[in-house]
Amino acid sequence: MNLALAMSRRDLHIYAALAALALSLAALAVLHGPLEGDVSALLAALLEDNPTLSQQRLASTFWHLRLPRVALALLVGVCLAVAGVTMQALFRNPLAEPGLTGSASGAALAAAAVIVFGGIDGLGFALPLAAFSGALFATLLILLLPADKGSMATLLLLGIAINAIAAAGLGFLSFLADDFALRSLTFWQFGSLGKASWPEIFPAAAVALPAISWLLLQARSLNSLLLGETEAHCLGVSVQQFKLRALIACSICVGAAVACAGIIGFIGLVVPHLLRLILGPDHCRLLPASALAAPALLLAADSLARNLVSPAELPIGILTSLIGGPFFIYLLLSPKRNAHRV
Amino acid sequence: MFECKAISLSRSGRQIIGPVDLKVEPGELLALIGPNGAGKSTLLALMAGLVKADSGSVLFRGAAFNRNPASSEFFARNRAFMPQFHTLSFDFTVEEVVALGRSPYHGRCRHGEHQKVIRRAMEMAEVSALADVNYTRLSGGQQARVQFARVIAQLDCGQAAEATAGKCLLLDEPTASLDIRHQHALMSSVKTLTANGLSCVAVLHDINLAARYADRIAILEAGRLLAIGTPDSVLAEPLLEKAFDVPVRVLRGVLPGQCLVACGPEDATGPCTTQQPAFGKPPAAQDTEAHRLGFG
Amino acid sequence: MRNLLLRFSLLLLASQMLACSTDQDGNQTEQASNTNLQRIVSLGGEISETLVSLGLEDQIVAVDSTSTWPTSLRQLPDVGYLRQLNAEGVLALQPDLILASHEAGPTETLERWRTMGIDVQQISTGPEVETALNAIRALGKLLDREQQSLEIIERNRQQIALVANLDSPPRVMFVLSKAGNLPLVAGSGTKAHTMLTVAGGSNVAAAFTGYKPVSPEAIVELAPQVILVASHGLPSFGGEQALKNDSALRMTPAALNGYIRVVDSQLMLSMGPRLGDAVRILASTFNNYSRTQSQSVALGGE
Repeated sequence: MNLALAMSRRDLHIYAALAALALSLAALAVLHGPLEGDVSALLAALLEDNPTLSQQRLASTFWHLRLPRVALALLVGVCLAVAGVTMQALFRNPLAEPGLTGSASGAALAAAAVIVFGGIDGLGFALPLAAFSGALFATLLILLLPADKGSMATLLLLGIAINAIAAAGLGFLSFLADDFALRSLTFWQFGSLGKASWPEIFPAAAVALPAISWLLLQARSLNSLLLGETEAHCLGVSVQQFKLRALIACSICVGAAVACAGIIGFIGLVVPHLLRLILGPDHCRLLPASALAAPALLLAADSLARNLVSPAELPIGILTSLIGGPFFIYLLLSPKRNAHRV
Repeated sequence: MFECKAISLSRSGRQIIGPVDLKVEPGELLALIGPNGAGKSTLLALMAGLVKADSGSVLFRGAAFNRNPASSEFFARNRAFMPQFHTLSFDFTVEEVVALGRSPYHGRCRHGEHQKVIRRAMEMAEVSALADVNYTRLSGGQQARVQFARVIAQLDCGQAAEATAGKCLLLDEPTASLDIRHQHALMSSVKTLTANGLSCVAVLHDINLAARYADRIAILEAGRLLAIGTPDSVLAEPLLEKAFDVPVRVLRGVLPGQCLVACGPEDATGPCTTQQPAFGKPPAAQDTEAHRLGFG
Repeated sequence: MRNLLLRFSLLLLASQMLACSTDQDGNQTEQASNTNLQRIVSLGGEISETLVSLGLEDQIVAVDSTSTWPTSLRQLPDVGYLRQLNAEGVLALQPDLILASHEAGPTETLERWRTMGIDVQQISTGPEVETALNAIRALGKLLDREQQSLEIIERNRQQIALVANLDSPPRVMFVLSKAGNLPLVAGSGTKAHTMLTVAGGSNVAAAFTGYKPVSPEAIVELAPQVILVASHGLPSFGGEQALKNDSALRMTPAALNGYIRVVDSQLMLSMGPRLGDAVRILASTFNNYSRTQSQSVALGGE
C-alpha cells in the first residue's frame, strides 16, 4: 500500500520468498546435474589436491558447465524481465513484450545471417556479436526514423514494420540456408542456455548490467508514465528523453539476452504480468520482484530442460511456458485474485 | 506570479492561440470559459508546459520552464495539472494513484509525512472511503475526484496548512463528470486551497460554477481573450452572447452574491422566475460550433 | 503467496530428484555390463552405422537422434539432435570416446569435453562419395578395425562400379518433404544429388544448391522422369495415395509412367557403409525405367 515510499512488511516477505526461491534453484542447478555425484562428492572433488579423473570431471563440470549456466540464467532472466516490465509501462499495455520494437527480431535476423553465411566454424563470437548489434540496430533505426516519436502508437507501428521486415529477411535467409544451417537456425530460435561459457557471459554482463541497473532505478518514472504522458511530464519526467533512453536500455538488455541464449519467449511477457496480479502495478515493487522471479523461472525451466530427457536436452522455451503457463492460468482464475485490492 | 506574456501558437498555418497576456496572483482562482474549440485546453496545456508556444513566454515566479532536470523537478513540485481525460488502465488502488502525485518529493519527505499528505488530499477530494478500491473499477466521476486528490498531493509540500502556498494548480474541466454535490465540493476545496495562497486556473464549462467560485473569469474566443475580470464585470449579456453566439440572460439577485447565467429565448424580455434551470450547457452549443467553423 | 511459491519449488525439487535418480540407475546397470569395453558416444547417423558394421555396436553407449539404423540403436540413450548437445548429459554417460560428425555442436561443448580429458574425434562426413568412404576409413583407423573398414569400402566401390552406364540418364527429382505447400527438392551439393548421380540418374534440379521449395509450374517445366520421395517426408504429403495425386507432381512424366517412388531416407541419405546398397537400389530403379522407355519406343516404332 505504501507505493513508492517504503517497503512494507508484506513486500519484504515477497522479495525474501522470491530471492530464496531463485537462490535455492541456483544452488540446486550447480549441485545437481545428470553427472553422478552428490554434494559431498562435489565438495571433495573441488577441494581435493590430487583429484582423480572423475573428480576432475566433476569439478570441471561445476566450474565450466553448471556455474556459467546458472550465471547465464540469472543474466538472461533479469534482462528479459526488466525489459518486459519497462516495455509494458512505456506502451501502457500489459501485453507488450520486450521485443515489441523489433530488437528481438533484429537480433534474430543478424544471427541468421551469421548462421547461414558463416558456415559451421563461423559461429564462435560472431553470432552473439551479430545478435546484439542486430537488436540495437533495429531499435536505433526506429528511433532515428524521422517519425513523430511522441506517439507510442507510431513507435508500435514502426516496431511492427521492423518485425515484418526482419521476418521477411529471416524467411529469405532460411530459403538460402542449406539443410544444416536451417536446423541450427531453428534451434537457435528455440533458445537455450546450453552454450553458456564465461567468455560470452562476462562481456554480455558488462554490457547489460549498466542498462539493467539504470532501468531498475526508473520505477517512479515508469509509474508516472502509467498515468499518461501528460501527467508524467507534469510530475517532472522528461517524457521524450526518458522514453528514448528506456527503449535503448531495453534493446541492450534484449540484445545481450538473445546474443547468449537465443530467443526465449514467455519470460519477458508473462513474468511481469504474473507478478502484477500478485503485487499490483507499482513498479517500485514490480521491477525488483520481476528481476528475482524471472531468473527463478528460467533456472527451474533449465534444470528440467537438462535433466528431464538427459542425456538429451529439451528446448528451454517449451519448459518456461510449461511451468509458467499453468501458474498464470491459476492466478487468472483464482478467486483470490487481487484479494488485497478488493 | 504566474503569467503568460504574449503567448501564441499556431498549427498547420492556423492561429490557435493568442497572443494572450494573462496573470494569476497567489491566492487567486481564475476560471477560463469560452465556447468549444476556443482554445481553453490548449491555453492550459501551454501554461502547464506540455506544449511549447511559438512566441511569448510562460513565467512562474519569473522563471520559464525548460527541459533541464532541475527545472522539471522544480515545476513538478510547484505546478500541477489535471487533464480532462485520464488514461490510467492499470490496477492501482485509489491510495496508490494519489501517492503517485508524491513522486517529485521522493527523498525530500519522511514516510509519515507522505502518508499525512496523501490522507489529507484524499479527505479533501472525498475519496478516503475508497482508499483501497481498485481505481479502474471506479466511475468516471470518482476517478476524477481521485485524480484531483493526486494533483493536490503533488503540490502539498507537507509542511503546514499553507503547504500549497505560492504554487499553481491547473485544472481542465475538473467538474465535467461530477454530480452537483461533488462539483461544489471540489470547487470549495479549491477555494480553501487558494485561500491559503495557491493560485489556480480552471477551465470550466459551467458558467455558474465559475461565477460562484472564481475570483476572476477570463472569456476565451478563437484563441484570444475576449474579456477578463471579476465575475460581475465579465458576465454581461452582450459579452457572453458574442462569445457563445447564443441568447443569454444574466440573472442577478437570485442567489446571494452571485449572478446566474441562463440561456434564454431571443425574445424573452420579461422577468425570470427562480424555477428556471440555472445549470448545464447551453443547448445550442453544437450549432454554435458548426456556425463558427463555417458550416452553419 | 509464499506458500504457493514454496509448494511450487518443492514440486520442482521433487521432479528433478526423480529425473536424476532414474538416470543414475540407468547408468549404473550399463556400467556393470561393459566394464572392460570402451564407452563410445556416436553422434551422426553414418558414424553409428559404420560403428555397427565394424562390429562395435556393444561399445556404443549412446547415439544422437539421427542414428536410426540399425533400429537396435534406438534402444540406447538418445542425446538429442547433434547440433544441440547437452554437455553434462553426455558427460554423465561416462564416455571414453565421443565420435562426432563434423556437423556436431555447439563447438564450445565439444571443446569442453576435450578439456575434461575425453577423447573427442570429429569426422568429416560429406555429401561426396569419397568423403563418405574416407570417413569409414578414418573410423576404422581410430578403432583398430582398419582391415574391416577397407573391406567395407572395397565392397561399396564394387557395388558402385556395377552401375550400368545408361545411354540417356533418366531425369530424376529427389523430394525431401513438403515444406508449407511446396515440395522441398534436392539441388546440387546434397547427399541426395550425389546418390542419384552416382546411380546413373541426372538431377533435374542441379541448377540450385541445397534443398529448395519448388513451385508446381517449375516442376512441370523440370519434367522429371523419376521422382524419389524420402520416406520420412511421406507423411508431409499425407501418405502414399495423396502423394500420387499431389497437384505439383501429378503433371510430370514420372507420374504418368508410374515412377514416383518412396525411398528409405536413412538408407539413401546417410552415406555410410550401406552407400553401395543404396546406389544399387537406385540404379535398378533407373535401369527399369530406361528399359520400359526403350521398349515403348521400340513398340511405337513397329
